[in-house]
Amino acid sequence: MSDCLDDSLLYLPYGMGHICISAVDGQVIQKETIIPGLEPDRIYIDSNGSRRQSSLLEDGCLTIIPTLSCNERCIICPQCKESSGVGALSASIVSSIDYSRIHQVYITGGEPYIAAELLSEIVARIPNDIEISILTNGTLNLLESPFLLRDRLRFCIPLYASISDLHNRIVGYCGFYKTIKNLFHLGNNNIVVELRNVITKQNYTNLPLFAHYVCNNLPFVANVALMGLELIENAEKNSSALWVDPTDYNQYLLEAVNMLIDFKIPCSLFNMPLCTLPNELYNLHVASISPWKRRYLEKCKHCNIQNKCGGMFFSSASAYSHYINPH
Amino acid sequence: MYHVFPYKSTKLFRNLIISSIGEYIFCGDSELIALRRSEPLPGPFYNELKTKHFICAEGEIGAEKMIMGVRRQTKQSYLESSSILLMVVPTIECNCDCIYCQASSKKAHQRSNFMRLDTAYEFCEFALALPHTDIKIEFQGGEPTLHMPAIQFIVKYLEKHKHEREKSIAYVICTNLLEIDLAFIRFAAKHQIDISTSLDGDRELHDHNRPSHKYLSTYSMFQENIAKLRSNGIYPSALLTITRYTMKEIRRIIDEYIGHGFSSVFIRQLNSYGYAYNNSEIQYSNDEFMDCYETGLRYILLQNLEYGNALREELFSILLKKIMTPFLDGFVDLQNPTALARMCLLINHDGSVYPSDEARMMAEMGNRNFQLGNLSEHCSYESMITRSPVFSRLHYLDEIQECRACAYQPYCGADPVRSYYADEISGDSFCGKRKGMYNFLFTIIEEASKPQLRLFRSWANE
Ligand code: SF4
Ligand code: SF4
Ligand code: SF4
Ligand code: SF4
Repeated sequence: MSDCLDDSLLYLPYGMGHICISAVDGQVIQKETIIPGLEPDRIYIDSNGSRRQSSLLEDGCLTIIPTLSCNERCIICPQCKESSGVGALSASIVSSIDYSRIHQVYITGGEPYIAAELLSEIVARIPNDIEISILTNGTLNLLESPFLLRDRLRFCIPLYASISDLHNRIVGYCGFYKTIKNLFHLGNNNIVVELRNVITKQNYTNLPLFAHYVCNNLPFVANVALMGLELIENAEKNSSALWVDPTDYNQYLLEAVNMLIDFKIPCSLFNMPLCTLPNELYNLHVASISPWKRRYLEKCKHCNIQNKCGGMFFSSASAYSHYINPH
Repeated sequence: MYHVFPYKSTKLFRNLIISSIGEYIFCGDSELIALRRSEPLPGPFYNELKTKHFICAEGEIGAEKMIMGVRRQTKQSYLESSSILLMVVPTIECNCDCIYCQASSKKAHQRSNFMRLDTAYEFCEFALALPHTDIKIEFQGGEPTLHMPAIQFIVKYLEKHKHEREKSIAYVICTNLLEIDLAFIRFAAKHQIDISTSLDGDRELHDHNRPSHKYLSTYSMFQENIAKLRSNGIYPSALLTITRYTMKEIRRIIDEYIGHGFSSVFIRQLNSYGYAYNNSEIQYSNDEFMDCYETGLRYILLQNLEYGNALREELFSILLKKIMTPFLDGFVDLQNPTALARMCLLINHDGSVYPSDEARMMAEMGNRNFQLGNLSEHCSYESMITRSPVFSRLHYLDEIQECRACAYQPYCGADPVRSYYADEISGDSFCGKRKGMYNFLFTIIEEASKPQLRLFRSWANE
């Protein structure tokens, strides 16, 4: 999330309209109000008078960011580090949300476990029938959380390589074995885990060994998400060290995916334009990019599979343009 | 510099290095030499070694040991007494006269060849008192269907009492299918009993290997009864026993399996002891068997990949699971320390309890050291193990001279019965065909095409 929340106001869906909350301390400023021009299902951020629609609530999915601070320094981090000092979101916001139109909550960051107590408080306030996904780098102590045994809980944890050297270089931190240990603990406790890997120039040749590592050490994971790169913030700054063309990574991707499939580990591909993938992988493609970040190119207009294709991040569109090939 | 964990190497076409948790890598001479001398390694080799837990940085040793500990524990989870195979012999009599079998059929019919129902009852109570929660009961023989009252008693009794004792129980009946009637089929369907049978080839080969004093053609009966079972939703698996007479016809036999629509086949070598051992008309050497097995396996691969016939070989799948996956494969013969008596027991018709079929044969030959006890003593599993002169402790491959330096140890199995037999009775090697089997396995993996490798991985994860 790249929004800097300093003096911002949040407009969260509430009843028939919105509730207006201070993003800094969670103080309710205006209760259940119908503001002209605001769609009831959307969350809006009002920063210094300019009101933007935010992606926070989409198709019934709510994203909560307990903190923007993080203990890792990923070269692909999609978030502005300058905003790390922003005051943490208050738990009271979370209880003032009307959950009747929400079926899923994503908790992300920063690293949510930096604000472990707040995180627990937030989770405790979310109704039990709503699925919660926690996006964490898995390096902090996940095990003491009081909510671990909650139903409908899912951890999404990034693992960028099969060896510590490479993973640690990507996250800018000695995180590999900490993450692996936490993954083992989660697996031992039968907690649902999704592994996430982002394909970059740094790690694409490692994909087959990554798959081997997952199949042999982490076979309990519920899903492996392999993702294309979003070229914003840190990733944009480091783009020459990170960008890899689909034609270069495809054979490695195919080899990794085949191995995961043979081991019966579900696998999905995010943020990659459909036509850049090998045919055999079309059915694993997930159209995941938020509509407001999604771009298609001029030539996509003539594409017969556009309805199945998730397009590309607006930030990565120009980098992909050579490889886009309408069907 | 990097830390190197223990590994062993062997040479096939290239070098094969195998770690103590069973990860393996093929590599060239220069790479192996660099590793031996702890010299700098080429990038891709370094990455593979590190991914597969052969090496790590000095500061990472503790974390890697933790990971390998978990891996080892998963592979040895049979020591935690969670699941067990109980082979039960309701009778040693048979209605068939297979040329490789000593069963009983050769002995006169008499009541003492059948399990008494009070023994069946004692067996049930013994099974329910086991520390294991997952129990698989395999009725063997002789021909178990000749004594349905014992089978029915055991299944019904256990089904009735398993819940209160918190056991999950599965059943298999190994039968030649000669005398299958509708009542049997209903019984098997009702209790979801798996059926395992034998098919040694087409009519000529099968009838030659498996004649019967009661039936003109056992092949005809097989055909008739397998159809009956399948039309009732029961799909038996099948075992293929190779004899000298059929070994040259392995392709023809596999065609027969495909023709019958089997999805798997277990290619079985003749027992190296007992009755078949001295019979040179049916017996063959380990090398001859391996030749036949290789031919068969390559033919099965061809059928899968060129002709779309999905037939899987069971022994190969088990070995693949051993080497390609982190999971326990459940094959009792190949665990280190030995899984005999921990993961399997054999209960004879007279109530005597053994760690394996070989231990029973040994007892018949007069050596009762391997017998664990008899159900009539009403003695618990735990106390049988504790007082056993042999099985009161764990047995490791390292105790066997010829295994000590072998690279295949992480996949192989200790067996005190077998090693006693090799040392004291036959004078043959303990290893037998095993090393040849592993050599073949790794050779075929090393030279595998991508589609072959995928087939192997899917077999390993079956
Ligand atoms: S874990 Fe990495 S990507 Fe996530 S917030 Fe921290 S630095 Fe950014
Ligand atoms: S041409 Fe455009 S719409 Fe079609 S698959 Fe490629 S990126 Fe998607
Ligand atoms: S059917 Fe089984 S028990 Fe009977 S003779 Fe053949 S191999 Fe022996
Ligand atoms: S039995 Fe043979 S293959 Fe197995 S460890 Fe011993 S020598 Fe090696």
